[in-house]
Amino acid sequence: MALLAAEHLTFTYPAGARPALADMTVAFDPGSYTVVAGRSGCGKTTLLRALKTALAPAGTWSGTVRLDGVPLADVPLRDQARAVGFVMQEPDAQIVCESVEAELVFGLENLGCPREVMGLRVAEMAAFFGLQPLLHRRTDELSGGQKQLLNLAAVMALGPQVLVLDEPTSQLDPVAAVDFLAAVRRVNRELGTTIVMAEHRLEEALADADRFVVMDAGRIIAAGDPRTVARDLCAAGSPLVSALPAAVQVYAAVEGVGADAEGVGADAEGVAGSGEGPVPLTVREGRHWLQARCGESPGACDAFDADAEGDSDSRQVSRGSWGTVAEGPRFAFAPADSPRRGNALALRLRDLWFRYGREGADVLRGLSLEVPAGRITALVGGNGSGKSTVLKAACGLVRPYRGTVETLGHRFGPRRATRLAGAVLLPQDPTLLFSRATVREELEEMIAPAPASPGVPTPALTTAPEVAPGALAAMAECCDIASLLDAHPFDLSGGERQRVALAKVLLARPRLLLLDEPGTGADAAFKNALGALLADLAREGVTVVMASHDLDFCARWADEAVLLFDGAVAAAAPPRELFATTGFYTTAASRLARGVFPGAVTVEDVVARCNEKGAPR
Amino acid sequence: METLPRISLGTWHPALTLGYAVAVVGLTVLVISPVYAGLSLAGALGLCAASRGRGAGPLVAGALGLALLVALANPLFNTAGATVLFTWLGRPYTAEALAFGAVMGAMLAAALLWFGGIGPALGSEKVAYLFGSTAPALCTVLTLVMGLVPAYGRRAAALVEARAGIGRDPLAAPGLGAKVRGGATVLGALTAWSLDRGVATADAMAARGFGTGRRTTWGRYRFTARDGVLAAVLAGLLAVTVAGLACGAGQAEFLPRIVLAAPSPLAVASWTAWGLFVALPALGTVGEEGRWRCSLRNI
Repeated sequence: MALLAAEHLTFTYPAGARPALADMTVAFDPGSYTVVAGRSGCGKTTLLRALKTALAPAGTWSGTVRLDGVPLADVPLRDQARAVGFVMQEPDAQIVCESVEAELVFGLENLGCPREVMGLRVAEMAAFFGLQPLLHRRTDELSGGQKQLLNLAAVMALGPQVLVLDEPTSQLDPVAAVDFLAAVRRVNRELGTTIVMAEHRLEEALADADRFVVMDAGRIIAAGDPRTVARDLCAAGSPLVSALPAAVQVYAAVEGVGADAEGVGADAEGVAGSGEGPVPLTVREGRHWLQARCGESPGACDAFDADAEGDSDSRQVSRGSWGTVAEGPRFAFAPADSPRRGNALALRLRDLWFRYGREGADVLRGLSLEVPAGRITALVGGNGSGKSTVLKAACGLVRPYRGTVETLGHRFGPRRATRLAGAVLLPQDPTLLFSRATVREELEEMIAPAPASPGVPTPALTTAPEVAPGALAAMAECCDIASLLDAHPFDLSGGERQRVALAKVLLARPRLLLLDEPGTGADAAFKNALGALLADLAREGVTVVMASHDLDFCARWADEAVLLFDGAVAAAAPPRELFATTGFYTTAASRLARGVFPGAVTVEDVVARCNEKGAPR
Repeated sequence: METLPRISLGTWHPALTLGYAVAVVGLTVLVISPVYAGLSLAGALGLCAASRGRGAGPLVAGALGLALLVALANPLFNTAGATVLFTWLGRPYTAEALAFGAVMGAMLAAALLWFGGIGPALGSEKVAYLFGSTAPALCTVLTLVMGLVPAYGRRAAALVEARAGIGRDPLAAPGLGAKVRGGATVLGALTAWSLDRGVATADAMAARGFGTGRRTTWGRYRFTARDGVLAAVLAGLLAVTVAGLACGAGQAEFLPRIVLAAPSPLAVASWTAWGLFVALPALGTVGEEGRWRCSLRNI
């Protein structure tokens, strides 16, 4: 019998025109690991919250949720707190206590647990999640990843049968996100806890799951084994395909999963390696399938042994790309000092040194960078490599203690710049920009006293203030927020907040647009729209500089990728060249095709190269 | 990183630390006597110096400066007293008033230093542990609110920076009116954010069963034999001190002439007991430091 089940669940928000959940029936078996996916606003959060009475939103409910066969309404809140654990998006807001240790016992205290038992649970949780070094730290000193891990441990301390997670990694960087998902997998594999997780990051999560539920407009449109559902999604041409793992996308495109989807996976003759399993989910499975299909021996695909096999063309490319590290000027450990392609420079940073606070470590260590105007430049690199600081320096929010910053021809003096028209920064947390009661007022704020910036081109996206109402409507249309204009900004979902913040920033008519982690926590559809919008802006002459962890996004849309490391530029090149050269820090598609198709960086590249080789007979 | 300050008081049972704090601060501010105030100030100085070293500099300088100010200023307002040192603006400046001011200043400085010295050893978790069973919900909410204060500061700074990043810097706005409007915008954004975050925090608390019934409080504090011995010693010293005070050992007259209590055996015993009582935390900290050095040398 299912441990937790929703039967004919329908829910309408008080002011909602149509139900957020429509006749939803779904069951979660003991020990199962379910990933719930869908575009933002499809009802994922509402479904997950319905699984716990204390969190269920107010509105009109019908249907029942059963925990172990008992309707949830009849299970006391105290028992629900113990049986169903819930981890939410924001790492910060979920933390209640001052110290890590106090946070771990908070739930146990609430349930009236005796002190001896609490001591044992704290010891267990600290050991299982590796929190012992942090036990006596203050919670506000922890990083985002550590906070979210603490939230998970604090919920697990109650020993829940079911763990519900609502996009737990959406605010985390990729490394922290993978660590977190690994912890969730351990909870499932080693403790047998049932997992129900809404997640955008399917590249990592889907391989761990044994069940994949896809929602759209308050309904379940597909549910079942992850491989089968992923193939069905590809067959149906769903907009969610671009969120699926790279291996699935390549497989589906190459094998032509379409009308006769049934025939492809297991039974199609000639598909070598189909014994591995019908649809590859991970990079490892994808590589096996790709090697088998393209008739190459797995031995040829050693991490950096790129030119051991393959046709002459690929050999040339691979040798060339690795060779340049040593000899070519493109990968020198210094910026290219000649502006490329004859473009004017939008941003010139020279030998920047910066630290936050007198005693702190240097965040920028002699960083030099030149950004040509009218292009999209992506700053990539790990946490603490100085990406955000570079963006802040570019618009004068931080003052390096050594070096010069020249933005749009304006050289920042030693004092804090009062205002530089033309350069705007979209912070990582879009809510930092919200200060009004409705989205419309947010946008109007940017139009009303627009500072004069002479010499600014006024193309469609950067409209002059005289035509304010039209500009507002055009921008709302452009960012797909026209239907949200009368909503309160804080009532919006993560992806919608991103869109509103972007519209607001664009209304400032930037010539230099600085984006800090755009698209964090947003779905794949939004990322595609964002990329296309940035490309349009660049075409109109706007310079875009974005700091991003999302290498797939950078590979697809950026003109130039700059790898920052230890406060300086480690390498700068067009993303295809850069990601074809790096072996670890690269896109999933590149890792998938490494050694088979050198130089292929995006899913489209791999698919195109696969098709070039021709289908195996 | 290190949360426990290097202080022996921090290793006592929280109840004992709190009891000591109440007794030492209470007697310091209640007994107006140069002997008691002087000893208390010396003990508090010793504790601050032993536990914080150079880090105690600003606190000590501030407290002593305040004491000096009080001492020097008192004769300006109080002109009674037999020994006139000099006359200023037609008002006598007397030695007795100066002495009284010095005692008041010493009491004030001692109380401040005791707070500064004991405070780090008695964090909010220990307070929550002590009062958690009598007012659990109130305690939790108070801890939560205390945590919000620094969070607000950080968020406000981030908001100002974010608005500067889109050309709406509230600090650089031209004119006072624009600055005030900019500040109001930040305040409004801060309020909206805190409500939003408050809802999420409340959800996280409810999800973990807050408010579903009886609550217990965690704390890995045990009342050890060492705590027992310490409590007995402290209680004994306190009893002798108070007995002496009851028999007039704390008597001191300043006006018109300075008359101190006679050094009767009971008075001397009371002074000694008080001296030991206030010196104990500093001695304990120095002792632990010494033991550390010893054990490090033996490694």
